[in-house]
Amino acid sequence: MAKLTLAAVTLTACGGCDVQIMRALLHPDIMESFEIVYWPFAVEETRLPEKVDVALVNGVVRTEEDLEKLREVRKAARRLIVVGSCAGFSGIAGQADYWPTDASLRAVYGKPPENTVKVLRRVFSPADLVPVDYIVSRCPPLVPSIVSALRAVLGKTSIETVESTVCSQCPRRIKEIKEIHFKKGMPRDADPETCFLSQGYLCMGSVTLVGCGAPCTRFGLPCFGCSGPSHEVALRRDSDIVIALARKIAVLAGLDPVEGAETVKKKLLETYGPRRFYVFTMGSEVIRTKPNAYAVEAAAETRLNPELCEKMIETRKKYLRR
Amino acid sequence: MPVKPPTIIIDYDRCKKCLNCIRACTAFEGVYEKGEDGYPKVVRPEYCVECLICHLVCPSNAITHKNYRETLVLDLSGLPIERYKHIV
Repeated sequence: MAKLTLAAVTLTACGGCDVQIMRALLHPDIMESFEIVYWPFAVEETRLPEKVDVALVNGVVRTEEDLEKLREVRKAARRLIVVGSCAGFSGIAGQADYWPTDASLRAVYGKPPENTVKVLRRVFSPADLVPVDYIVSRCPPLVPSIVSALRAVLGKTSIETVESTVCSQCPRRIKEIKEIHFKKGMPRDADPETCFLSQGYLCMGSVTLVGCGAPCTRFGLPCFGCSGPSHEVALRRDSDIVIALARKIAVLAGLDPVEGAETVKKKLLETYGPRRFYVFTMGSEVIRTKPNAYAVEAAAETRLNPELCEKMIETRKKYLRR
Repeated sequence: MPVKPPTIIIDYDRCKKCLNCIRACTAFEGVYEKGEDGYPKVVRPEYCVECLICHLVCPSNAITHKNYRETLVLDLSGLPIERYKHIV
């Protein structure tokens, strides 16, 4: 059988996905069936061929160059798989939207530099801009998931898509909440066998897609939601991450799922601020197009108070001087 | 009201025994009840009013209703729905 051609394209990203892609490509059966024709990290070829069979895209669209590259790769590829939280739901890189672009540039360069790359006015995730075949979410994306997506392209195995939340694989026991009180910061003094929500810490497990095996909660870290919003949050127009989470907490505390959720939601937003809930989904169109999108509210925070930007620039200057 | 009562299935592999479904059920008698093993059981499916609040309060999406009226409020842009079929 002839080998399928594979191109890996990195847009604005940290490089972690490339490492995971490399680890996935080291599987013997994958290595035998794919031929890498373009991958700046590993292959010398500098131009994307006109036709490829499979393209793996990671990172967000931040500059105009990224946008052109994404269009090019969609045109060329027969199957497009986006890898990583950034490419699926804008991920950590989507946090760039929190600061206005000129403030970010000023923080790094002092004044906005001339003759630089053209930065777009906001961050986009590739899955919002072009049709994609598979999303391998999570940060970093798991090697078995990338492998299973590649095998599905080969037609060897069927693919198992996820539909449950992180809670279904988390070993912690959920207990009733006696008093609604949220604690900030990392759960250092938390009981290792009880659910974080029951202990008053914020854990996004109940609104996040599963597939990871809940490694964070097993080792004492609450879930930050790297896998993207669950089906309930993403598909229902009236739902949002904060609303869905508040509803679950309210019922755990024995309150009404509608009225009680409002109180819990207010308390959550007061304690953590809206930005905390969109660590991995701030730039995602799935979340932003909701009627009551707190992600937009979070992003508007810096636009409404320019002092916040000035403060950030000052802090950064201090940090750079050290 | 539908002629047939909906079939309610709880996936016990996913269930976390939080009993949110029992607390949130809006039927007068309550559709669910706590079993001896601590898991919720579907006791009175004929009383179900199909509000599907149990789906929303379940932290692990363990509950499924079959033959219920389909009034899910979906995002009409279609884009997220199409995408959600293929998440690995």
